[in-house]
Amino acid sequence: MATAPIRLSERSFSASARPAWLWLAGRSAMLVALYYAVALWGLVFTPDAHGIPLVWPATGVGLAFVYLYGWSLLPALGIAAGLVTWRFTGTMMPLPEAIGTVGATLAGIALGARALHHFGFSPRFERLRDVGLLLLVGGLAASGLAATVGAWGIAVGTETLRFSDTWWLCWMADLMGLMLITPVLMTWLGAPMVRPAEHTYTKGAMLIGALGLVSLVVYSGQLSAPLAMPLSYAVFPLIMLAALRCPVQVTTTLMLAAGTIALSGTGWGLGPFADMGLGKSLLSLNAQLGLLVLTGLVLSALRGEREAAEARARQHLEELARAGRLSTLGELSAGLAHELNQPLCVLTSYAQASKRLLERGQLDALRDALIQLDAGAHRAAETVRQMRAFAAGQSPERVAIAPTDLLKPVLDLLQPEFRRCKVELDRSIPPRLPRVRVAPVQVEQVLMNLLRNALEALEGRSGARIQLWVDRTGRELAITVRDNGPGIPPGRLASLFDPFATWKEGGMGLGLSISRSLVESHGGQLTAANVPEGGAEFRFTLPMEDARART
Amino acid sequence: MPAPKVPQVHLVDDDPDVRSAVSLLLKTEDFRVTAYADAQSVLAGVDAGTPGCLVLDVRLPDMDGLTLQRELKSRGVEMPVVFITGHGDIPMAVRAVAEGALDFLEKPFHDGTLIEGVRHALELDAQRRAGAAEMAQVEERLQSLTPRERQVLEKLLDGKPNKLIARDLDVSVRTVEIHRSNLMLKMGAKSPSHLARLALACHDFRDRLTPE
Repeated sequence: MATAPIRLSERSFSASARPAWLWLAGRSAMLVALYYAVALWGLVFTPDAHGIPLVWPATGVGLAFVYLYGWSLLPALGIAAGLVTWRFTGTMMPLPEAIGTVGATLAGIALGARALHHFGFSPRFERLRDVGLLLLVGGLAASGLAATVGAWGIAVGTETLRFSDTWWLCWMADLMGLMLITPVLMTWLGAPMVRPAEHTYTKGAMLIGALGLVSLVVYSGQLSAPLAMPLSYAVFPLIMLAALRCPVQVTTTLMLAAGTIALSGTGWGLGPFADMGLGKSLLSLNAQLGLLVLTGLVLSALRGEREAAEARARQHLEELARAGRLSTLGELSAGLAHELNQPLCVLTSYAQASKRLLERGQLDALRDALIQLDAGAHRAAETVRQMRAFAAGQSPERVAIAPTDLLKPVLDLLQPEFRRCKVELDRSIPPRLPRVRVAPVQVEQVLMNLLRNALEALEGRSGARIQLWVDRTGRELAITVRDNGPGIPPGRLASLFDPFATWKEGGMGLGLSISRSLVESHGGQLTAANVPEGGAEFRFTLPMEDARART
Repeated sequence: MPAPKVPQVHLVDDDPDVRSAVSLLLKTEDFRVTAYADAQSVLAGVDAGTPGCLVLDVRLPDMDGLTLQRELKSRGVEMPVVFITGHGDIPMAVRAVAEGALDFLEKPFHDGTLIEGVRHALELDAQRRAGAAEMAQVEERLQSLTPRERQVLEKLLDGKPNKLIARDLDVSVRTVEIHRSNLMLKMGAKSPSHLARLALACHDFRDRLTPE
């Protein structure tokens, strides 16, 4: 089992349509408050007389809530949109028009949310298509309709602005707001927090600090424009770093923070974009912020896709490895049958003897026989347990384990093979070796594979001998299996670890390939060489427990 | 003649648990059991003169069971062998039986099969030994014949009538008849054909059975 499932079950659109009233009331209140607050914030920055805001995140808030929690939040959204319309246009707009405005906003958002569900959008932003979908749906449905309404509302009251110009500005403000706020809401409210392997809290805190500092300096108005303008791009590397190294929630929050500071600064007439006049400053800053959000989301998605691919690869390796173990067990079955038949023979013999002793009334002897029978049963159970542990079920979870505990089960399992092939095992395992953090079943598989290859190479040879030793080199532990067989044909050495490179009768040629992948997934290396005195030597390393950051 | 000895079951298995379990099982049937861990101790410990049988694991650490069976035979130990195995190895079972193994039992044994096998083996051994004792008696009688009687016997086995024998040996027919009746008496033969059977079973005359 992969430790990080690729997808969690997402909130079902229909299931959330019938929530408890308290929950609904809570979410509704949250939506109204947030919608109203961001509208208030957006309307603070209307640098011209027509009241066109620089940014309008309200639509994005609505889209996020309706997408996440379903149609049941539409009434709250209507209230919020109505409040905003009433508050900012007041008596200027006749009631039918006001109702039309609210209705169009609702329709745009509902349509957008429906489309996101329809196209299988995931609020985790782990795929490029999620980023594309949000932009497309946000741009076309939600912002498109909202902007039409907004532009119409503004254009109606003024003669100096053409509808198309106004629509363009409103649409951009809507889409910009949506790009800034929707990913934040969706990732915090709709996606689990997944920490990438490289993430640390220190790194996250440093990123937040650096971004805040850069933005404040740029938009403080203290720097001259020629310096402030290029410096405003300093947020890009920070966002890129966050996208690659931090949970997606951190990235989206940083983008929102950067956008908020930039827009607030520009709105207050500070920073490099302030002096250009409404149209240009809005266009210019929004272009930069749009690119910033796009960069952050695309990089996050690419990282997500890479991680998903890696998880799939890990899962495949694990499945392949398990298949390899099962086939190994199949090949060992003759020897294992013997291992089981011996204790079973002991059991049946004691049982038959007990029956006869009982018939004769020799109770003392019967008692002894039953004690022996019990002990024999445990021995048989132990053999079965070893086979099971090797074959299946056991999770590939990594634990800290002493090398001797890794070797013992494999050697126990292979003991009949050593006897059958008449091969002497010479092992040298120093006591008190440091522990390694590994998935025991996988390392056991590697050992099993190497030892069985050696046994096969040695079968039928006199004086056959396998040396097995463990030593430490620096921060690594190395396990070596050496035989005194014919060695690896020189032409085979290069392709030895390639899949399907077999020269054994009936072999699949996957053993060594899987083994190398397993060792490498532990951060170690598996190498092969011929020994000058004759025979082959396989050696693999494993990092010691303390030498590696926990993952 | 020495007093009849108690038959021994010689159990050979390298697994100590199997040895003690199977020994106990056999002892509950009042068999006398001696257990050995390897082939060398069997070769050193088994006395051909004592009746008994062998219960032999096919795979032993120092020698496989079939080789041990051959080795014992070459040393004059002709006891019946019951093989036991944990491997279910059919080719080996076939070879073992071909080489005279009495039985080939797979571990774990079904109730009674081992005991039946051992009992059967001991019976066969007893029969073989009884047959051998009879043979020894006939040989002994053969040795008690005078040279003349022996000559007459040889001629008889050649299928010659009394007259021809008398002429060959240059004696009277009457003398041949006397030798012949003594010979029958000494050998314990009830008829001429019985006499022929007894004589031909003896070592000295065995070659006459083969066609020329």
